[in-house]
Amino acid sequence: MRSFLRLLFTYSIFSITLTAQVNNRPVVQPTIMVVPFAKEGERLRTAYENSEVNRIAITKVKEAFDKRGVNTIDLIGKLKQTNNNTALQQEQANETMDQVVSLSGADIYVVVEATRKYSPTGNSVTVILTAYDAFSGESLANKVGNSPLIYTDNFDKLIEKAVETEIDNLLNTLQEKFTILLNEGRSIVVTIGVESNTVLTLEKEINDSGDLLSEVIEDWIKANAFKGNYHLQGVTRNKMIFDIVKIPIHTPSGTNYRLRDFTSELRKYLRSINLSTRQTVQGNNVVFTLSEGKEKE
Amino acid sequence: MRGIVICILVLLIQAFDDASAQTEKFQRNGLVEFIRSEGQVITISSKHYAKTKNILKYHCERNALENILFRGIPNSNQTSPMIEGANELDARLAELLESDYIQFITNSQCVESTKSKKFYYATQIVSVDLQALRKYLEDKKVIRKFGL
Repeated sequence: MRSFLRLLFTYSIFSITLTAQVNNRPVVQPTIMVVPFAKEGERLRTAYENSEVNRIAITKVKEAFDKRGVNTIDLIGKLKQTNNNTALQQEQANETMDQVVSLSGADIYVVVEATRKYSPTGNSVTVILTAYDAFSGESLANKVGNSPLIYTDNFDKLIEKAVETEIDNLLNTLQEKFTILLNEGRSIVVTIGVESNTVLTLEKEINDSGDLLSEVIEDWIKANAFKGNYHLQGVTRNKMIFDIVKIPIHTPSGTNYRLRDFTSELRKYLRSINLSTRQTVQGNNVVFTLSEGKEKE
Repeated sequence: MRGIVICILVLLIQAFDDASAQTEKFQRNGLVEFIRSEGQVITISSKHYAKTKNILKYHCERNALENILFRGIPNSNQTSPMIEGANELDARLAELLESDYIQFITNSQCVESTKSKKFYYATQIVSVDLQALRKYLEDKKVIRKFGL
């Protein structure tokens, strides 16, 4: 009984400390963009302009974010800004979802798809809301809201009802995911390979203790992953893949921790063990290609 | 003299009775049901019991509030608990659960009440202003503002 009480007490202290830690951090507002659902290859502007129900649903979702004190990036404003950029004018025909999201700088984007439903027992509207992490493409929250069946052609009101049924749940789920991200960090994928025309392999002993290159790299990842959390998918002579490496959301000083902060540190470490690197970053994927010898300054 | 002593005794017994009624232990139950949601106001029904009638209303309202805070209301626009990682024992919530809660209740009506040997039972329809409640919890740093 005494040990049970002790365990209970420790758990309470631990959970209070954990909550306090999360609550004491400064809140950084993510940038959010609400976009209409667009089919593969379809321009976002077309999807937005052609669907009145989507436009109303998007406005209702933006309103809900406003009520929580979060500003959203306006899609049309962003499209205009993109078109005004002369460097991008050649690609105007390709205002696809991926391009707009990556150019917008949004942390989170919410895809809205609203459909009207007609039936003999009344009309209704279904709204599908999906929130994605723009960094990793990971789906963070998914909700489907249905309006009640009503004998009316006032679809504006039905859309409002459909959005209202689930928007708070979407925001709450997003906030829960944010808390998990703060506590556990973001996942990135790190692939390290060796240049094809080099004698270097990941099995090469690189120090006097006889440590292999793959071992020292893994040790570095272990020491630098957020809370030491990583997973090594596999190692061969030429390649090692870390399918999960956690990185923090904030730096110790409270500013945003960027993926570049992590890759820069890894590059410097590899350089310190006399390896030159080429790196490619796409979304949350980082690929390092190693060859022997430091690059010239 | 004897009269004074009796009077004092009666007053003491009354005070003790009132105090015990006031401190009657509240225990949350899951007997809440979503009725409707209008804007940021959620309306739910909450069933509870108490030894005295004046405590009964408080128990029903507190039950509604605690379910919103710590459990979430099934089939509603508030299915997740508003507070993660804390419970009614959290000292930061004592003021809210004892007295401040009344600020967030926009409507409260008893629709059914019965009495058994020891307890009064009631079903209360309670409307809660979620936006104001969330703001209160954010200001008290019980929950984080929306964001990372």
